[in-house]
Amino acid sequence: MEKKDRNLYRLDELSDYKVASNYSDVRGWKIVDADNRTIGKVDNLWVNKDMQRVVYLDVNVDKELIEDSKHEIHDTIANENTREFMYRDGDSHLIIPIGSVTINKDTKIVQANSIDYDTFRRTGRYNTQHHFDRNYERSVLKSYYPDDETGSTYDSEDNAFYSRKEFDNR
Amino acid sequence: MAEIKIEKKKPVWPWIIALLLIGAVVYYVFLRDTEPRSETTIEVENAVPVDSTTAE
Repeated sequence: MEKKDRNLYRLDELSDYKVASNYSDVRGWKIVDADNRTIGKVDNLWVNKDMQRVVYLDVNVDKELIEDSKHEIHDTIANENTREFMYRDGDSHLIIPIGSVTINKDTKIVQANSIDYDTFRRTGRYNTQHHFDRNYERSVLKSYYPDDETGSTYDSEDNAFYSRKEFDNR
Repeated sequence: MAEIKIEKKKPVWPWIIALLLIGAVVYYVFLRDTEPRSETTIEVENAVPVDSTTAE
């Protein structure tokens, strides 16, 4: 992601920002799928500085899930031209839209309600060294919600992209 | 579904300034307490030889 085009930041990159009062800082919490299968651990929070809120959870994927998908080639929409996507070594993180999860403050577990283990296994991962771009975000959404209509904001390059139910708390 | 908002951290420098001001006040008060005490001691020491000379 080019610096000049960036609209997403890891929260720990923004030293003058923190999780607002009355909201849970879920970094370090376990994340499970709809069937309570472990997906990984929340490593960081991707925030939109303009919108002053978290838009993605950055998940350090569980080794077992990585092993399950190792050496496996998945048909993933990496960009507008559909092409095969192969995982590279070190691609151990994935993003989950904040509106796709529920947070249990008591158990400190984040649950992805409508996304199952196999979907996470098939979803393209990224390497934290290289960040990601809007095309990766689109490919992830397409993987999680293949039946969703793309909508008018799907091709947006600005913050309008996040005006979708997957990023909404309602 | 979840929502997590972020906010700007409150600046630390007002607290630092407040601590410095408190420190300055405490230091000032301490100096005012000790200086007159040392002057008094000197006066007492000088007073002893003057008194003995007068007595002779």
